[in-house]
Order: sequence, then structure tokens, then C-alpha cells
Amino acid sequence: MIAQQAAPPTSPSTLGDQALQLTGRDYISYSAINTYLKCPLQYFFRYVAAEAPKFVPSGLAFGKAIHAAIEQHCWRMLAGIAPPEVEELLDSCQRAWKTDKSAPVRFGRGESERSLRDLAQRMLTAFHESRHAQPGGTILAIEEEFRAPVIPDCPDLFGRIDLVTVERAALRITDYKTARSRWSSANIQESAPQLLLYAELVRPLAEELGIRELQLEWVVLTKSSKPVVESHLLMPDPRQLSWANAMVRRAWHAISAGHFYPSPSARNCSTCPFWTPCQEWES
Amino acid sequence: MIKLDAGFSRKVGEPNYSSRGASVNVELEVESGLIGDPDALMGRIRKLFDIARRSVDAELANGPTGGNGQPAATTQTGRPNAVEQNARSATASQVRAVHAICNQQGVDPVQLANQRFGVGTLEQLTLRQASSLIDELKGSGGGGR
Repeated sequence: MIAQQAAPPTSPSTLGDQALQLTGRDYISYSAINTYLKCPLQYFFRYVAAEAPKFVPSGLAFGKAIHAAIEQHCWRMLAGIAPPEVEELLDSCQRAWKTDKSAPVRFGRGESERSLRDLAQRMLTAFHESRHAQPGGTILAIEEEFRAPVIPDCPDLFGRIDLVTVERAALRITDYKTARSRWSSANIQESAPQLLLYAELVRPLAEELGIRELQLEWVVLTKSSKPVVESHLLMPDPRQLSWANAMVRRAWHAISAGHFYPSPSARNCSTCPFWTPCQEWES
Repeated sequence: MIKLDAGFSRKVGEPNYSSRGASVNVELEVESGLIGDPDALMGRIRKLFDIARRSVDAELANGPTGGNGQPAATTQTGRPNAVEQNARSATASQVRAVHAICNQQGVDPVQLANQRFGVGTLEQLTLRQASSLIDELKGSGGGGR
């Protein structure tokens, strides 16, 4: 019999070097891992081959622009300046839309720049009128970058967290989302790993501040004719966190072993900016 | 007689996001002839505010965090202590907010941060210090919210 010996754990710097060699970054992000989970070949084109995307899906550019407006709103709240009116929020949104010129925006069916501007106005009005425009407690961080070795056998996890506040001895992480419709339990389940891992990134800060309770929240703005702004809370659950850790760890192992293959689906391919190189893949 | 009434209040951050504040109001009656000498009257008012401010500062310095007039996380030399060195730095949004509020109030943010926490730049503030500074600045009336 040959005794089986567990492989020694790889040090974070070695893992970071490995990631750097593969992707040009010495860390992993949840959005990159999520790209891999949806389509390993899209991950390869975006993060390993560093192919320039042929276009930016309108949904992605739109979400970033709405985020920019909310960021501006939160920052004004932090500085104690009168919160921006809807028109100012819309200006921030449009500036972000115009500034992001990494690739041309590809609009969906029936969409145009005008229709998305109208949609943004409706959504930002709904946000402005909602209780979520007045985040309670003390704002500590807006669009803040956190990085830490939170997943065993993986490079550092990097995350940009929309809002961190402290209220009544609890540290709250808020993640703003735009969605086609109101969230169901399936949306919550799908998005939970990211928020649970972000909580691990923020946990050292909570400990430093002597705060034990972490609250995890999504604020979802619907992209509908009558937009709705809703909050969903997630209870930190050690089993779910362990599951998320395992999922990311397995995905990273597959990435570092070079397992890249297409995962064709109507949902993935219709908005994939790497359609052309995908068709030429291994031909 | 003219009645002068000067008030001053200040709030300082404490561990675990509590805070402690002190407020003093001082009343003084001065001779009505001073109305014809605005400079002398202003001098009396300034002095009154100065007394109120110094009383508040002295009270806060004797509180549970300090005793030496320094905030809890800072040594007497103004250098960060060991706990502070490992503390998370002020977030980018906090630094931007301190700049904006100070600009609005005509205060030099770096000088203020140096006075309060002995740091050379706003980026050297810890997250907790920056939060306390923002609270203080917002409390001193420049916020307009």
C-alpha cells in the first residue's frame, strides 16, 4: 500500500503568482468566477486571452451607469450635502454611460439610447422616492475595494462593495442590482454566494470596529415600466458560505488546470461579445 | 445693558461608534455704551465664544477616551499606536467627503486632520478617525443637509 499524503496547502503568494501568470491579475473576483461558471470559454477569452470584447451588452453598460448615479447619491449623503435631485442623478448616469467607451454598446431588441434614458429616469425617480435613498446609520464606504485571502487554496478574493454602513451595532453591506423584474427566491439563491463572500471580505473591518453582527442586503431596482425598488436581506449562513467557498475553489482549480470549453445557451450566447472567436475556437 | 449669549458644542467619536458631546452656553451682560464701539463689542463676543470653546474642549479631554486631550487611538506624540497601525485606512469616499465638507466650511482638511489625529495626509487617517472627523464636521454646521 502506498500511503496517501495530503498535498501541502499552497501559500497565498504562490496562488497569487499563479493567477497573475494566467490572467494578469494576482487575485480572483466573484464576477470573473461567475463568468467561468456560466461559460468557461467566455472566461478564457475575457481573462486569459484578454481578447477585446466586440461590444458591451446594453444591460451591463446600463447597470454601471445606474450604479454611478447611486454612488453619487450615497456620497452626497456621506458628506452631509443635500441629496441630488432626480435630474442630477440622471446627469451622473449619463456621464457614466458616455465615459465607458471600452467597446460600442449593443442594444437589445426595441432598445435605443433614448429608451434607456427614459428607463433610467423612471428608475432613478423610483429610487429617489424610496426609503432606500436615505440609508440609515453611518456610511463608511461607497464602491470600496476589499481584498483578502478568504477562500482556502485560492488567490485573494477582490470585491468592490457598493455600500458599507454601520447602524445599531451592526455592519451592513448593501449591493445594488438592476433586474428585468422583481426578484424571486431563485434570484436570491443565485446571488447569495457573492454577498456571502463579500461579507467575509468585510468581516475583519467589523472585528476591528468591535461589531459582531453583519447584515447583508440587496437593493433591487427593476427595469420595468413602473420600476420598483425592493430590499432583500440575506442571513449569513455558515453552510451556504462553505458551499460558496467550495464552488469558487473548484472553479479556480478548473481554471488553473486550463479547463476551458464553450457552454452554449440562448441566455449566454445572445449577449456574448466573444461570439466570433468562439465560432473559430479549435477550428 | 446688552446681553450677550454665546454657545459652543462639539461631538467626538468613541469606540464602537458611540459618541460623546459637550455643550456650553455663556451669558454676559455688558454696558450698552459698547454698541457705539463695534470693535470692542466684537472683541467681547469673541472672548465669550473662546471661553465656551475652551470649556467644551477641556470637558471632552477629561472624558473616558483621553484624559490627555488626545483621541483614544493616538499617542501623545500624535503618532499612531500599534492598534491604529493595523487599522483599515479611511475609505476613498470618506477622504473625498472630508475634502468636500472642509472646502464648504473654509477649513484646511490636512491641518484639521493633523490637529485631531497627528497625521500628515487624509489618507493616513484610519476609517474610524475619518468617520469621527466627518461626524464632527457635519455637526459643526457646514453640512446643509
